[in-house]
Amino acid sequence: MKVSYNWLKDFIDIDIPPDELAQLLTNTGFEVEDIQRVSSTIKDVTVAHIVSIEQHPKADRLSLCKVSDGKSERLIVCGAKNMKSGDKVALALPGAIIAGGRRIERAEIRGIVSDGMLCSEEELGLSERSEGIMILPGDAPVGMDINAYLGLEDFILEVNITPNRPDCMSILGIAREIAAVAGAQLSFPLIRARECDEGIEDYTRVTIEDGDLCPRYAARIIRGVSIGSSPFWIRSRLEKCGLRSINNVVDITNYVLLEMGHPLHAFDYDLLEGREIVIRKARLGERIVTLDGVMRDLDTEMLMICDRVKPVAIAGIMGGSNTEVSLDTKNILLESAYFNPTSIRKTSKKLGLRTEASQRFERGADPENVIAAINRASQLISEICGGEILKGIFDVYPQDIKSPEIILRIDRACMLIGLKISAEEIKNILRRLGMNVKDETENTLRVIPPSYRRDIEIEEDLVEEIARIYGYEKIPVSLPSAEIIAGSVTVREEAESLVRNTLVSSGYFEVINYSFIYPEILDDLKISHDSNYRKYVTLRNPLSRKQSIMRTTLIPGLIESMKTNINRGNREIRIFEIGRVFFFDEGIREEERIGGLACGGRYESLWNLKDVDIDFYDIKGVVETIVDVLGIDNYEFYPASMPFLHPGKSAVLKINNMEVGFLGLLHPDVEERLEIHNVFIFELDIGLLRKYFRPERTFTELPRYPSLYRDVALIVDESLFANEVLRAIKQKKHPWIEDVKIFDVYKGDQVPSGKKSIAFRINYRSKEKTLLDEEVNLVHNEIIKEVVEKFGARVR
Amino acid sequence: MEKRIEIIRRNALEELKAVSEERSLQLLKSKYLGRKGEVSGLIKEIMLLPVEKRPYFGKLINELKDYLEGEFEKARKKIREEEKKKRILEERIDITLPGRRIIPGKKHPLTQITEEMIEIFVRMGFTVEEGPEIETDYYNFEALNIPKDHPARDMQDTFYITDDIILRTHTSPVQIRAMLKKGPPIRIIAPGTVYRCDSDISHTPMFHQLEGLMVDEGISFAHLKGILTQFVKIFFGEKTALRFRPSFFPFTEPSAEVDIECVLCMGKGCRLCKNSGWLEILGAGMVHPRVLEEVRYDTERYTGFAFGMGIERICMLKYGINDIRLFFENDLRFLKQF
Repeated sequence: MKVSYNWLKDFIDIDIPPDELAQLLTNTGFEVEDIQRVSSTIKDVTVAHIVSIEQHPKADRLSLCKVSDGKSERLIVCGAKNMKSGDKVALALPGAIIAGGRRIERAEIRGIVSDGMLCSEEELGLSERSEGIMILPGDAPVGMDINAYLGLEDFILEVNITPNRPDCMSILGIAREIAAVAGAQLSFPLIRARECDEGIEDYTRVTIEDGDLCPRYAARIIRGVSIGSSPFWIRSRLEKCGLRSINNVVDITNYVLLEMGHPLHAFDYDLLEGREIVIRKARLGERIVTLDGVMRDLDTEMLMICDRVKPVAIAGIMGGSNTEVSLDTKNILLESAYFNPTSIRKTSKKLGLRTEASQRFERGADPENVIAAINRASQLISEICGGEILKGIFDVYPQDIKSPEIILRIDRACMLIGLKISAEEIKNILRRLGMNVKDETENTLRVIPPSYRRDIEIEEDLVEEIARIYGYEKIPVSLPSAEIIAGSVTVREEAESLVRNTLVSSGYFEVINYSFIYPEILDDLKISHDSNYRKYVTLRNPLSRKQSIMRTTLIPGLIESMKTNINRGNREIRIFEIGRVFFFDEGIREEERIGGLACGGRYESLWNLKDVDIDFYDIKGVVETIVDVLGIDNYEFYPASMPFLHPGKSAVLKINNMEVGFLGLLHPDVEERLEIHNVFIFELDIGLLRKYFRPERTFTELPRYPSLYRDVALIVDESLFANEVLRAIKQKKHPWIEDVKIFDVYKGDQVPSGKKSIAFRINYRSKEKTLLDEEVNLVHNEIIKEVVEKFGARVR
Repeated sequence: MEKRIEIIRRNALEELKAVSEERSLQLLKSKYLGRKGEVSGLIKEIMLLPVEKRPYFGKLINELKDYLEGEFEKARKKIREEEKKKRILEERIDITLPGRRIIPGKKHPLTQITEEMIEIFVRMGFTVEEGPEIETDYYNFEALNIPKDHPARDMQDTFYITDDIILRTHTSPVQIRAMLKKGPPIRIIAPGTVYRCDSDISHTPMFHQLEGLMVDEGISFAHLKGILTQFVKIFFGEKTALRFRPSFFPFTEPSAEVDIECVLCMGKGCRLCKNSGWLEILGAGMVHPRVLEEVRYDTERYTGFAFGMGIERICMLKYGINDIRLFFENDLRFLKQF
């Protein structure tokens, strides 16, 4: 909310510069986000008083005005006709600067020296166009600088009002708060609504049909107003606070809204059918065109202000154009009401219509402010727009809205704050905030908050008020003396942390992508319609189509990150992400994944490294490392059939025969669609990995006896997976076999076509003795013989 | 005979001088000391001498042999030494060329910051908890004293899946889940991903928070100040000033926002802190009794505090990052900097 510093000073006598005031408000819970200085370009223009007016001897259309600026009398030649002696005017002294940087000097006009100039609003830059000179209100102090008088130099504080404090959505509310904190005196505007003799009862009636949604409705009638533009001071204050000037009546209702925080509405009385007001819910099929010119369809939950026949306003939100105050309006009916906050909020949300009024009503207006506000506005209307106020207020308020009585235990308050504050001080603070405080017992107080503090409901609310006014800064800093417990991270973070560190040291950068993807990316990945990846969660209100569903895999995000990097000229890409994926089948399920992507060269281009692209075994190595650091050993890779992976260069990882993830080259179709090339990815289910994670380590004694190894190269069918041979050797489970490794794979000249040669190294070691060559040979030959037979292999 | 011994000695020494590599040295050695060498020839000649002279010349020849062997050994050492020197000289490389290495990756800056925070709180006895990112309205709002149609809902723009299922807008639902899981005392932190329907230069629809909750007997606002002051001093540095100012959250009462002295201008006022000298880093407060009632804690006996902070914001302040969107673009040039 925008708060004018000058306006505040109408109500509170403060001698605090704006930046200190901002600090004070911030420290009291009203964060000032910005201070804007409003400066004036006008110089040396002063409030003056016309002593007398004479005709210019040589020019019919000019007058000679004798004016007093408080220090001396001056003779001014003036071309306007709208002033009379006794008026207060704006006098530009010789040397003054007015709008547009124009300089005013002493000048001779038709033989007479004018000692300055009387200014119009236009000349002062206060309005676009104006007729005649500016006549100031009668109480304007002569000799006062016009900048100071009109508040042309001001500071606008941008104050963040938290939703619990609708009472501070006004200048008066903020002033009240400052007064409470600074212990200063608050002065209210003097409200005098001078009524005529005719009573309002003869002209209208107000009927509340739905008392739950409208606990109070008050109306006044002002007869014979003339609609026009508002005086400068109203316009300027509205504009400084971010509201547009419409016409004098509407501006006055808005002015009172900003000043007192209570929204008002003015109807053209003569356009109300039956001349009456009925507050009821909308009927089926009813519609209204609101003041913004939009046709609104209503539903039967919405509270409407109606005349005898039709809705004329959406209660607490916006008026209807059918009863709008216009230049032809003569008589107005002024509304001041209190509406149920929830109802206003629901209607406002449904219509997508938020206004200054709705924002205040939905947070909770002050039902006890209804009368003061309507009187204030009536007074201003009759003073500014003319017209007479009919006698009486049609005030329908069947049931008083009572403020709660709250019992406050002083020791409890001190305990919660962590500081001993005396009962006297607590009482003093609460009273400064307008609370009614009575001693209940020695330790307890009975507190009734003022009607504008709807947010105060329970003891803790009072504790906050005490702490807030006492000052958060003065509350001590102390550490809880709770029982010492060692904090901990869980196994889940431990596993995650291990995997993350492993990937980082393998050259992978961690990325974080949005959890949102879009359905079309699943098409690009060739994912079939019955696939699990299609069981996604859809957002009802996404920010864009591209962020419309929750991801079921990390792959789209990784590809997106890769593309960003390629577009920006980053070539060697190794990235990974740890995050959640979401499924919607029987219910909503969240699972955790670790995904990785690699493309580009194996190494960053360097003078001494071969410039080669990464391949399947690079990414497989990374996956193997992850599984290894988690202490998992019973894993194997099988050919994969993921639709988005190259069928010949992809695999699934199984642990204990349980599938935990996949890896491989993206399918050429996918690469084509996404315009990328040679991209390897993997994705593993961290939840499953964690299940097999063995955080505990045990020591195995180092071998005492030396080992012997035997190499053998086998020529086998090209399509045979090396793993099968490996498994066959291991399956022998001979106690001496310590380890089997593949150390070479060869296809070429020395091997018949359709075949390949795989070289194995088998390491033999006994736990009991040093093995002899001959005994190892025996075992080795036996194993090889079996393998050769099993796979139709040939020893090379 | 004596003369011949002397000639052989002199010749050998003469030839030795000319030798500069080990191979020719070897040849020379066998020429004089080999089985068919000159010295062996002398020994054979001794047999032709009269018996009484043999010991004398035998001695001389042995002396020659020892002497020459010594000299050859010396020469050999010298040659080796020189060859080594030469080799070392030849093996020189350009040590300014870059080394061969696998360049390690980096953790995402948000992960690094989160880990740092977790460590600080774990040291203060907090335990890490987590909860689902897709939440029910109940845990995200209702249980936290934010009923439907409450103006406080405007503070957080929500992504909806159904009327009752949403993407969590904050990590605070973990408070409820943790308290329902076990009774007091509670001392947890909950880092996690949260979502709000908002996107511009300072907002992303997804971001991260770290929530904290402590509930026990006699917990006060002063304790909240204590724990958070401790955290700020460890995280931002011992000298960092901080201030607590009143604010509003539906699930805490009293509520506070915590500012630290601007990290850029040290409180003097600059663009980053909008001339205030302060930067807001977190929201906190005493747990609202309605929240404790919701999980059936005895509100007379137990009180507590909660706090929550935006990890992106803190990361931005710590490193001087000016655009929140950088965190999710994943440009390697960005990620490499942390």
